[in-house]
Amino acid sequence: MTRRSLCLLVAGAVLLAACGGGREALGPPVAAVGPRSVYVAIGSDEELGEGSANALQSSWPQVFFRRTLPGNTVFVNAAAHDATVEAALDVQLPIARQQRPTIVSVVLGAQEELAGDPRPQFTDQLTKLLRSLRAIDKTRVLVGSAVALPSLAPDVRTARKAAYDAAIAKAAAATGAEVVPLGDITATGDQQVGTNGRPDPAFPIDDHESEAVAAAFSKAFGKRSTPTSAR
Amino acid sequence: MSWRDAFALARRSVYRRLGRAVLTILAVTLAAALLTSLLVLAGAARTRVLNQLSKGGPLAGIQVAAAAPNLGQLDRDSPQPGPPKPLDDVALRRIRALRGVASVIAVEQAPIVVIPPTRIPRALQAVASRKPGTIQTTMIGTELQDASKLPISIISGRLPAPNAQTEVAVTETFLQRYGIGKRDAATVVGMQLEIGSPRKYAFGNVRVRGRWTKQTIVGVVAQQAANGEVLTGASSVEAARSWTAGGEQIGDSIGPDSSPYAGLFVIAAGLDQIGPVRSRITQVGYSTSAPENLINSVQRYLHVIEIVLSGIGVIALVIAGLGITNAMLASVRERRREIGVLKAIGARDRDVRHVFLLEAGLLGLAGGLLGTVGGWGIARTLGSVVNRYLSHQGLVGVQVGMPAVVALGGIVGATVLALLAGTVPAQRAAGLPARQAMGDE
Repeated sequence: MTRRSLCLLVAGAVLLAACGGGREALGPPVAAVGPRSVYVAIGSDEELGEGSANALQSSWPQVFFRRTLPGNTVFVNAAAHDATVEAALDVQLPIARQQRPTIVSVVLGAQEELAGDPRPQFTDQLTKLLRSLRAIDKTRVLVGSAVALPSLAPDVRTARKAAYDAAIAKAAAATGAEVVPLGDITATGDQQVGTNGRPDPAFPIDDHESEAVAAAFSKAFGKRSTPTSAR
Repeated sequence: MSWRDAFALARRSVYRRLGRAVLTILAVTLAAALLTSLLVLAGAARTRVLNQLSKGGPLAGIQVAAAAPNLGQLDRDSPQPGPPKPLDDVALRRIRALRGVASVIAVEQAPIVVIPPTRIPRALQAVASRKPGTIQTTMIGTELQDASKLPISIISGRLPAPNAQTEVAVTETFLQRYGIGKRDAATVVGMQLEIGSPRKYAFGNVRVRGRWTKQTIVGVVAQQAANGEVLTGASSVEAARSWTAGGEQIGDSIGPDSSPYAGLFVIAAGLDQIGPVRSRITQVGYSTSAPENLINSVQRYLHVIEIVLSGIGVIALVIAGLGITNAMLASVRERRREIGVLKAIGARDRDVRHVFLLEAGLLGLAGGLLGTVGGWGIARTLGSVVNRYLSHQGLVGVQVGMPAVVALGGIVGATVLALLAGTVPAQRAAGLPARQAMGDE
């Protein structure tokens, strides 16, 4: 190749390169699209952050969702104020069914515990609730144990907690749900203002206790992986 | 004399008077570079503005509000909409079927609650003057593969991927929550938000249940598609809306708008169709806005700018052409003896003309090649300066690319101009009688 044709070739290449151009949009890498896991929280006031200075930010299911669950998880808080197991069957179970969850947390029984020792229908209804949840999509169900309520007299408190623990354990064993021990997280009894404007005698937990409940559920969650749903 | 011999003579003449040839080539180079860079920049401006206007860019779009038209303000670009009116699938189909409509993009919105992260990135910490608590706002969703047709400009980062479920872009209003401006927009990119859709239920007072997702901020945008601080794909907003819509109808503080769509963005088939399409949408019963008057003004100004830029480039080329004529005339005067010898050994007038025309053509070709490459370089440099300014202003940059026609035009144009400029000297050289040429020496 002569010098002259080499020069022409280089000039042509430069011109061709010049005909392109433009800039690419920059930004973070595109997130992979994959199946989502769905978490539903069933419970009562403590699931709604009652007792916390910032209910939305500090409720324990929100903390559990934030810290433990994968980034593509959808979290539905189905909890309702002053919910009993019976009320949860009526209102919260249909919401959970709609969401087709991969994991559900259930913390119920404080209202019943406040009222007295567990009646047979408590165990039956809890079993029914847990079984229905498990049946949705072989959903993993984590059920919280009973908590010693500070509004009860000290001599009654421990016995009643033990009775409810037994009832919850029986329902869990019958349905394949996993019990998350909350025994050490006894509510401090800070007489938080409840939904009716009066001090809540049931299970008023503050931010610190919310963290502890979330940590207990995280520990239980970490024991085995949860399947993801195809949505 | 063959063309090959004429070319060899012309080339030799260029090499023999190299200094003059270089200066002549430089003049052509500068003129070609000026013309090329001006045309490239004018083309970039056209791409940025005119093409968007005429081929369905955001400015050529018509925004349709979920409201009845305000009959007193139909002639305005941005009229105050009339009373709210649901914009549903039936209306969408009717508008899509209107004559002159090229495409319709639906914009959805849903009320949301945003929990910002408790720990913010260090870069944001350094510039933020405040830290927001829980934010109650609106999420806007659209088919993001059509985002280029919407009035959305990226300030930092990028738009969420069209099918991503965990990505959002935020607006300048969101930045203000941290007390930062567009300049620091990049500091929020990568931050993770918890976004909740509320669903109302009755318990004493009105209560809400949340459906929450974790969303990563992938970009900051300036947008006029709808009111809202968070922008994402249509599917995410549909899921949020459907959750919220499942709640009880209590009060009106939180809840989805009664209209399925927050608005529509209608792209007219052409710039001239914007007015008629607006009228047809008004007849369907919805309020519209479009920058019709602005478009007309911009078009006029851009055309004037193009004429002025082309004029400057052409003047430069004509000056360069005169330079070639001058150099060639001097060359003819200096080479009288050579011309006489050529004629004495049998060269015809047209052979001499060919030698001088080829010499002029060579100078023009070299100048055109160098000038075109140089002009593109100048345009790229200016383009990067302009882009830096635009990105500071939160606007999308211009794309400076050289169209093949400009590159070819630069080279061919300079060569043709040089040939034209060399015509008079070549004619004079060809017309010299051999005896006179020799005798003068």
